[in-house]
Amino acid sequence: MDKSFGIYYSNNNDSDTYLDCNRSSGPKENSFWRLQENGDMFKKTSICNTSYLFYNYELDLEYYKRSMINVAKFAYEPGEHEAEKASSSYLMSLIALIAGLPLPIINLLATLIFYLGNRKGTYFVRWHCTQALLSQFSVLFINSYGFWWTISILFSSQCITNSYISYIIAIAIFNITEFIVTIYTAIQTRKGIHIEWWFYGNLSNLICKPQQ
Amino acid sequence: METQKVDMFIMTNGKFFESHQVAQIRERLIELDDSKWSLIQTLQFKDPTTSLIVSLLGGGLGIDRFMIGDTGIGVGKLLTCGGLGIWTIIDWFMIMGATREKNIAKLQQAL
Repeated sequence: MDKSFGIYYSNNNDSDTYLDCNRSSGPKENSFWRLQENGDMFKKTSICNTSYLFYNYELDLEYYKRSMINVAKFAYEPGEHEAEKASSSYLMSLIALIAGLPLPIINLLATLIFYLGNRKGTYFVRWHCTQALLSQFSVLFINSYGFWWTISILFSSQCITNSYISYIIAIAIFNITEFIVTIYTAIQTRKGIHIEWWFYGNLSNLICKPQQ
Repeated sequence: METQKVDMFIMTNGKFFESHQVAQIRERLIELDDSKWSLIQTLQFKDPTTSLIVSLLGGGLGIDRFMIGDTGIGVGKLLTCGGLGIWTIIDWFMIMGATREKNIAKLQQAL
């Protein structure tokens, strides 16, 4: 018995696919996949008729195979200038981060003002401004703690401990990772590709809603 | 209004507006009466690229904002030395969009 219960959609890259059970209708776009139950197996069919079978556990594996950065399908195709603005929100946070060094709050302030400036913008722009802002929040907390710890070592009797060194290494790794991810997202967003980060993407989805 | 005239207007002035608004502008212009054509032709729009250059050179003094007609924001930037540099950086990325928004507001006013 063939029973359609959901659609896979992908950006022609299997690592980016995930199951959207809420979509119960047929495929609407070229990149969409139809998932059909076929005995104890599932059949995954794309619009261009390339289908293959896989077992239930493989489905589960694929369901959880969401990477830290996902290419997701946005509600609409963003325009040229929308993509430019969305990309700018990430780029600006990077420039503000570098310009504001060693103060950890400058990048957050800059991203917040940029977000406020674009709060009447289109859904795509607002969504990416929200994601950039949220990512800067966690950077602020982590960097602030390291910043004031360093200040207390420099200007008081505190000495450098192993915990301090390990914390500095940890924040360096975190910042470099965040930096690389932000550059990658800025490049992809400029091309109109919607990038959702792990955790921040879901949070942005909750905060940012399309205007009625 | 004639489609040919509207398309010519879009071709000449499309760069002054947000790309996602161009289709709406075209539709509105087609629906518009022919008597307004002369008025629309005389409208002068600000170039977003020029605004960006001004922002890069004189953003700290708020000249970019004065140029596009945001006098209040311009004074704010001037008095705070470009928001201690933060506002200047933000405006490098925002000024092109702000200029396009001003242009569409100008067009809407004329329509």
